[in-house]
Amino acid sequence: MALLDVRDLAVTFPTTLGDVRAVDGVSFSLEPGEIMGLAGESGSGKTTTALASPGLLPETASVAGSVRLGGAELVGAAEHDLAGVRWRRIAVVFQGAMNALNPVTTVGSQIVEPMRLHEPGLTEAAARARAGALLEQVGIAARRATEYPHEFSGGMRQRVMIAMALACGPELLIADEPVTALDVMVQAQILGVLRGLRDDLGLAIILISHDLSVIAQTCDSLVVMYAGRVAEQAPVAAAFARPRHPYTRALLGAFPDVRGERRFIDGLPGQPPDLRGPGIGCAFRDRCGHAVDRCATETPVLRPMGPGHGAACHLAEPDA
Amino acid sequence: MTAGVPASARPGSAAVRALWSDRIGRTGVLLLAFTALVAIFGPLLFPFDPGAVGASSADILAPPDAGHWLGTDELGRDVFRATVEGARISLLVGLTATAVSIVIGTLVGLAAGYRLGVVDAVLMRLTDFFLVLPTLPLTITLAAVVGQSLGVIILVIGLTSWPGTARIVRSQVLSLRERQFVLRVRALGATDRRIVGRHILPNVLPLIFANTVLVIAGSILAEATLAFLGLGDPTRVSWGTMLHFAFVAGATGRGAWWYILPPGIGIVVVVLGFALAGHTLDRILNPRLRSR
Amino acid sequence: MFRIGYLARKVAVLAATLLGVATFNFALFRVLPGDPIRLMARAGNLTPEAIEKLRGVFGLDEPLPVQYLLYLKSIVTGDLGTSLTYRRPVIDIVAERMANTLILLVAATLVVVAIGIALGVAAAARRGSRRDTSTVITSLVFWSLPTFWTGLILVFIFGVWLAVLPVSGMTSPASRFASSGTDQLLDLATHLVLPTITLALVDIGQFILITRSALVDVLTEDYILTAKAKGLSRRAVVWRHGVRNALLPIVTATALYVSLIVGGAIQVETVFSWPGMGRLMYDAVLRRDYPILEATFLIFAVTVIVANLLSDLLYQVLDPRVREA
Repeated sequence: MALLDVRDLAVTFPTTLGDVRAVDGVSFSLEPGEIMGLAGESGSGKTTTALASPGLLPETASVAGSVRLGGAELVGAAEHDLAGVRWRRIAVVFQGAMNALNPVTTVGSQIVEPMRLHEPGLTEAAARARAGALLEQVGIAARRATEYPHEFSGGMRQRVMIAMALACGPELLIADEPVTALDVMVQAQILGVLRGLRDDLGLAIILISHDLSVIAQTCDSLVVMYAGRVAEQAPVAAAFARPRHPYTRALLGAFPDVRGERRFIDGLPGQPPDLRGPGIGCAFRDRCGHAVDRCATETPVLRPMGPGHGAACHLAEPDA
Repeated sequence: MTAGVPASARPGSAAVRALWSDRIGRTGVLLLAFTALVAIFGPLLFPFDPGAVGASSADILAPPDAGHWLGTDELGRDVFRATVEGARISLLVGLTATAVSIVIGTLVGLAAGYRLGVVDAVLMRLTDFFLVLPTLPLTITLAAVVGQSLGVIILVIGLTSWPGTARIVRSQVLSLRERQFVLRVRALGATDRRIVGRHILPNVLPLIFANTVLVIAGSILAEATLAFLGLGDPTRVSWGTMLHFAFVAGATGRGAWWYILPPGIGIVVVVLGFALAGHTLDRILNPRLRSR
Repeated sequence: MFRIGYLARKVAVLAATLLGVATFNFALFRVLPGDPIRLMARAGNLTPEAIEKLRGVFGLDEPLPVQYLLYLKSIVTGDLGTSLTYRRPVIDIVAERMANTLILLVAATLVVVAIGIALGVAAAARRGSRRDTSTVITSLVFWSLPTFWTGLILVFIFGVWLAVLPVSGMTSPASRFASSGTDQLLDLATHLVLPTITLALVDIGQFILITRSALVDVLTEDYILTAKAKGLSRRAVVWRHGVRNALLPIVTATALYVSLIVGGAIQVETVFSWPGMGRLMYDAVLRRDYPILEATFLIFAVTVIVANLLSDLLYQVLDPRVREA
């Protein structure tokens, strides 16, 4: 059975100018030990999608659809039950560890905190010992647990975040832009740590990034989102070798060099569409270049293109 | 601090519109408008005669009746008219003292923030020193030593409240002086005076405006407190002096609530008006709080 | 915890500020009026010969710098002059009153901090709600109340109209002969109620607004979401992560608070005839007793300065990022 099963997830935010469909019918599934890349430009809904599962969206958001973790439904679950799932089963490494750590408490206490919350029987000493071991696991000296976040460099802080995320032995790790704003060397190290966690612990990871090179290095599968919808999803190799959705192709085409540009939008004219209103038709049609009449009147659904490969485009053809 | 692009054409009307849109701000503006009406037209409609003392002891501290809507004071004079009259002095002192304070504070803040170096160090030491002195003891002491005229009160209040403004202005100038548009103008050879006057000051004004409103509130409270403690100008009727004479005459003990309530309510209405408006302005100018 | 160098620097700044206050006092009371003897002569009726003799006694025939040094020396040795009205050493009079003011200040501070933080947090946690808006408005209304007027109103309502609480002095004359210590304590407590409420009321408004604004800022930080993601209860997130970090700007605002509460104490002691430093200052103003005025100002200033230093140190304790500096 899949670890995480998302079906027709929809998240809407009310604004003074109308309801915004941040996530509009997203479906995918994640197997245990699978590293899935969730890619898209800012505003595509990737973070919202990921944070919907542990119920970490703002209170104003309305969530519809289904998110099942090991069979248990999370959408609409009671806050009490969600609190039990958080960190124990789904942990999050947030974007920008600079501010994601409490500046006035030691790193060790912050790692210990979820442990003592979810395992009441655990003694302080045992918890601290485990925290030290976790730090070692991500390559930080255990004695640094008594230091404060500002005493760590950016890359080290990210590792601390990862160690902290592992505190309760989760099955799923959501890593939101874990290596953005880090230099290439540190990036490679952090991504290596993540891969190691999957190899050693069987951890499943959703890796959110706007940087396709990061996803290419680390992930098993890729889900490309655009304007709150899934444009394409495939095993990584297939996605890079035979992209079916014009958006995916444009992104890959816009990438001259693995080490080079990180800007996603290069060469893509136009803007993402307005996410208010009914959203009939393909969201990408205004920037596509291949659009036909059908693209405006009929919303494309994910159609199979090959093994484990789906694309939401009227013009996409399956592998021969 | 995001003061944004070089000064827009009509910041004044934008501020008023912003105030009106928020319920708290709107209440503040209404309270102030009401007070302004009372202060301007009240004494014309209901003139107060300080010499109109009561004829007999029965007229002293008399409760409200048809002839005296809010009763009489310790000299038998009409409290309602006195209250209306008192609005003028209370507002006058508050506004002029604020003007003094804002001018000094802005000049100090501009000089310190723009010049930096020794000028900044000296001015900041001075500012910090005055900031740390407790306000009321300071104003009391100054007024007691220097004298008891309106001018002294205004100066004393103004001289003790400028450090707050200076700090705000300085920190804004510090962030502005490194901005693109300032560097550009400086590269074109503009003089310091032009840069400060034409480019920096207009972008500091919105912040000063919000701060000013709150300073006015504080100044009015300060005048009332000083007057109550006996340091006001005894020849002029203000709400503070009314309460001073009420207290000294034992109005509370004698149950003369009609004497104590009106001047105090006057103070609260004005100060609250400025406080509500200032709170809203502060929120508008601090965008981070606005969107979340 | 603190480096010696850091502490030494703080003490040096403190000494400089205190010197500044003393100098300011000197300028105000000795230099500005031109002739302090004339000020004193106004209070009592002195013959020209007596004035000349006083001049000699006070060293006023010495050049100004010498006077300044004599002044500093007298402060340090505790000689704050002689009161014109009480004809006793000022230092004695002040010493008697200080404790009374302290009782009032401590009681009011406890009330302000307890209620202020509780309501400020409640408002910030439910930002934008009806309760939040009404809390803000109520706080602004309290902030706008003149302390002395609030006192007068409370005196009228509870002391005169309802007549349930004492409104004058710190203790009733009869309590001196009371049978037990608890009776005396109770007597003190009833006298303490109204002055404390009056003093606290205005500052509560300020404190609530500061707490709320500090917490609203903190709650937008990323680590708050991290805390929530860990599965912590809403209360734990708001208090352990939110309030703990909001304490920093709140402590920074203590400077303003101490100045406000000292000013409030002067007004409250006046209205309620509370035998403290504030009332002493008020009486000194009425009677133009300049030595007392000078001394009380000095003590109030020193109190606020020291309180600022303490809050500064407290900030260092609370924020590890600042400690190394």
